[in-house]
Amino acid sequence: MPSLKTLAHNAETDVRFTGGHSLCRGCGAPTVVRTVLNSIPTPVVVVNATGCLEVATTRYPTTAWGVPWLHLAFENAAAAASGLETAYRALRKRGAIPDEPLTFVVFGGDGGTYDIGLQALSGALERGHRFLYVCYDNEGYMNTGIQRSGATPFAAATTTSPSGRRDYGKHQTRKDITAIAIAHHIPYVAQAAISHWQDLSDKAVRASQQQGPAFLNVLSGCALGWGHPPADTIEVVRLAVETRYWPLYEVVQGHYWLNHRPERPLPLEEWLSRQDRFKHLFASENREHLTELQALVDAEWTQVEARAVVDAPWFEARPEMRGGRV
Amino acid sequence: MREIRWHGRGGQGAKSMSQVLAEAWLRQGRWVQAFPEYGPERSGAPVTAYTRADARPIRIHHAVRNPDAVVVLDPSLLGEVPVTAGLRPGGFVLVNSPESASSLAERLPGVRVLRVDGSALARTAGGNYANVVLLGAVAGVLGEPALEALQQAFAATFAKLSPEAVAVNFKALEAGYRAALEEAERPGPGAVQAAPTPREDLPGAVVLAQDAPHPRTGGWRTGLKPAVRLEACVNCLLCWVYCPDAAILTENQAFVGFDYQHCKGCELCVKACPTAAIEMVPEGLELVGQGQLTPRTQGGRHA
Amino acid sequence: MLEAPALSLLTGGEAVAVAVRQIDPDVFPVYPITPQTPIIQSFAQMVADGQARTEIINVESEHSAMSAAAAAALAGARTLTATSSQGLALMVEVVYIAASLRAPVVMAVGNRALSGPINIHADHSDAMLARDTGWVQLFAENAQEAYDLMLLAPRLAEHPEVRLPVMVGLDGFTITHSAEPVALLGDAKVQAWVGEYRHPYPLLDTANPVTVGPFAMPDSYFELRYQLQEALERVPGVLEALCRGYARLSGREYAAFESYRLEDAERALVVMGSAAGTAKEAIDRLREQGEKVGLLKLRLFRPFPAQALREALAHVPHVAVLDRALSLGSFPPLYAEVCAALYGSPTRLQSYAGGLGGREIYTEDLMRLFGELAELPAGPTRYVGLRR
Repeated sequence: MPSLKTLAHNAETDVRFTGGHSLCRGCGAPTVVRTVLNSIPTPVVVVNATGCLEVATTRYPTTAWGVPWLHLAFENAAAAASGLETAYRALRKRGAIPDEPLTFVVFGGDGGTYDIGLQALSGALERGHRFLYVCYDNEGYMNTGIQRSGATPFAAATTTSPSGRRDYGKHQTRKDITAIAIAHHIPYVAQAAISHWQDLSDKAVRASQQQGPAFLNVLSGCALGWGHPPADTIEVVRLAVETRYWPLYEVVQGHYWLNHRPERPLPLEEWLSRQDRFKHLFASENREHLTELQALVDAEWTQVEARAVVDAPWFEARPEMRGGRV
Repeated sequence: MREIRWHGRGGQGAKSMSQVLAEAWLRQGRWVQAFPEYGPERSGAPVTAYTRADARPIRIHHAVRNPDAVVVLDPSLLGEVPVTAGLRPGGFVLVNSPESASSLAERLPGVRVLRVDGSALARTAGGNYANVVLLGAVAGVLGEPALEALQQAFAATFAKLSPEAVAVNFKALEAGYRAALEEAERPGPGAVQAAPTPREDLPGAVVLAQDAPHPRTGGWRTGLKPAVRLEACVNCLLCWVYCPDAAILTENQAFVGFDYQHCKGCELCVKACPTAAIEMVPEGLELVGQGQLTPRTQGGRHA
Repeated sequence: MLEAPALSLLTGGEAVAVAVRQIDPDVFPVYPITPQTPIIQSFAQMVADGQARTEIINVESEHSAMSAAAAAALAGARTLTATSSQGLALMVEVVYIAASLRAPVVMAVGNRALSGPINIHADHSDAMLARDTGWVQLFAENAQEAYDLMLLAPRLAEHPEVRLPVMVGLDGFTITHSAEPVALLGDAKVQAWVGEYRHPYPLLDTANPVTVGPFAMPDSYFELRYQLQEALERVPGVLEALCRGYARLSGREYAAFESYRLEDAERALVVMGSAAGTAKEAIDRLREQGEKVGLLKLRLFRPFPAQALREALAHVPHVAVLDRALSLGSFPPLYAEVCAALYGSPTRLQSYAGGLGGREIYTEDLMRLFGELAELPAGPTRYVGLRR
């Protein structure tokens, strides 16, 4: 596992992402970007889907990116990466570029990944391009003003799934994009969170070493969209992990490995109560929805945990294949 | 026609105040417009909004180019945004600042600068929002719209506020209105125009990373900045990994300080620090010893 | 050494596939759609047989095809693709973006009607929805032109004065699926002609990182869009020079448009694509009867060569413009362009539309058109071959 000293060393010698962008105070996305990029030992080329990260880091003629960076549109980041990766193979084959390793990294928000970009993502995963897709998941269309997305959790209030006198927020459950990525039978899929930088860094390294596509779904924060002080971003995300809302796990060649098992899992309220988007769930008339949400979280955790138990012997036989526990 | 330009930071209410001012003028029989500029900015970034009022219907739909008044809700914008650009002769810049008017005038040469300590007046009134004071103040200097119209417009715009909160804001509006009347007694010089910077565009909007400017975002801080007691730092670099603005400086993989040009003051470093070596301190001060503060002596990157 | 003038019997689609093989692009992202399929199937077989080193990406949609194509071209790879109709409609968002980022992609378009109702046959509605995208748009009359224009296209797209994507249109089925004799160039000649592709700021150059596709505010967007306008305005000059070179190479003359028996014409037709050949036949027959009729066959639709076209038609009293697309609710697109180009000229213009969704345009239709042209009072668009 890389240490923070290694990451800092990498950042000192090769500045891949700088300040001077206009992302919000306390934004979680830069932690995803910096941790992933500073962990990858090879040169990188980045593709960015339309979203907060893209608009706030490349206001013409400025840029926060010290690496080659491409943005085409919202729904096609994975397709753009397909083109770049294929160009790289084609030109290397012809000797037109140096025969050196290069890692292609896509950053897309949950809107650009779960929803509008799902088709391009699925196509690129199926075709087996060697690239790393990183979803910085803040559970809503934050760039356009906090609208609901396929990643928004059940009962969360957004501007298009508001809570009100007669409503309790989003009626539907969150889409399990990690499971969708797994269903493509790609070499490596993982869930991570910005609160656990070492786990994220380790996953970025191992994802980038795969011979095919890799997918990372990283719970990022959004102080504005979730409704908490900017200073609390990391802590709130950590609570998502410690309440088992957001399991940290990885799926290596189809085999599940849990990277974090909270010793004493916290009740979901510990996480919910820190965010304005769930404030309404604490009103007496909405308690049932809170219970429902807890049940959904328990079910997902149980499912992942059960898979990890089944796959434990596979990893025992191949200790080099599994990530660490944090 | 009266044309007002508002400068603030996302979240400081420049847009809301531009609307309340318009609403107040509307209540006095004027035709009005209020609109912000939209960009990729996030809360804390500089934002601009406009208010227009006229005796006749307003048909133009473009930004205010030559404002009669410019309201600056956040003094940290003065070094960051050309607040005096296009100011009409006889116009004024009204700044929310505790700084003296003469000192502000030195920073904004060639224009009539008025200052109101909106934050202090808001506190006196029992509230937190300097923007309301500045709204009262700009109306006070212009002589219109009337204070009562402003108060009615405020109550109508923020209909969800409790009666107590409305009362506090009425006081703040009045405090601003009166403070401005005194402030406006002082005359000032005429307007200046800021020249646009020419730029060469490469085909296809390509930005060469090596040459690209990095906007300063240190001005997003709201009076507090992180400071460190180095003797307490264990160099774990958790502040470094969690800083969204890459504003924790390292050398040889060791913490050496803050990049105040880019630090937005989010406090994630303070929260991440396991030894409480980092604290938020007022701008211009440094942390020494066991948490004592001292005025900054050596040149930092951003005061 | 002289090359044997051997003619090969090829469909338009196959001729395009041969051109693609000879260009041997680095990357070819593509999604199948009728009637573009002969191009991509033929080419896929050629790659499978080791006749080209191209990396084909069989993407999951045209939207992704154009996304991958733009990205590959910006990475520094010569990139070609092909589509039709709904495929172009689906990708059009990225068609705009490819031009704005100056990605010199070359795309063959088997021109086909747009839904609905769904139809797989020839017309120009698909190309017309890309007319404001910043792409260069060329139209071929037959398989030979489709082949030749495909070979001209990379040189035009990659020219430092241009650096814009280029679309080569050939009518669906009528050209894509019809076998005609085509004179091919030798592979080595084509390789020497197209040369190497070099992007000035390739994304794969990690030592010189670039940010491509940034966010432009009102203070810069306009200038960046105007750059495209300027680049397009340089196209006719560059195309003319390239055509001179290509004539030396192939013996075949090309230009933004072709004038056929136009010098002394009193009535002329402006048309694009396969109907131009039919028009030549109609003109020859009418000329035999002593009628002074002629043709202006437009190859370059974007940028629209307005001034040259105005000069070429200045002496013609009656001009008909035959569109194979509608601009529903207004005059058809080619007619509107010609009108603008001839504004203030004494020439009388008449709009015709026909051949939609593969409806045939017969020689007799065009002879009738010429026959009525001088007599018609000024009026709205007339429809060729429409039942009503």
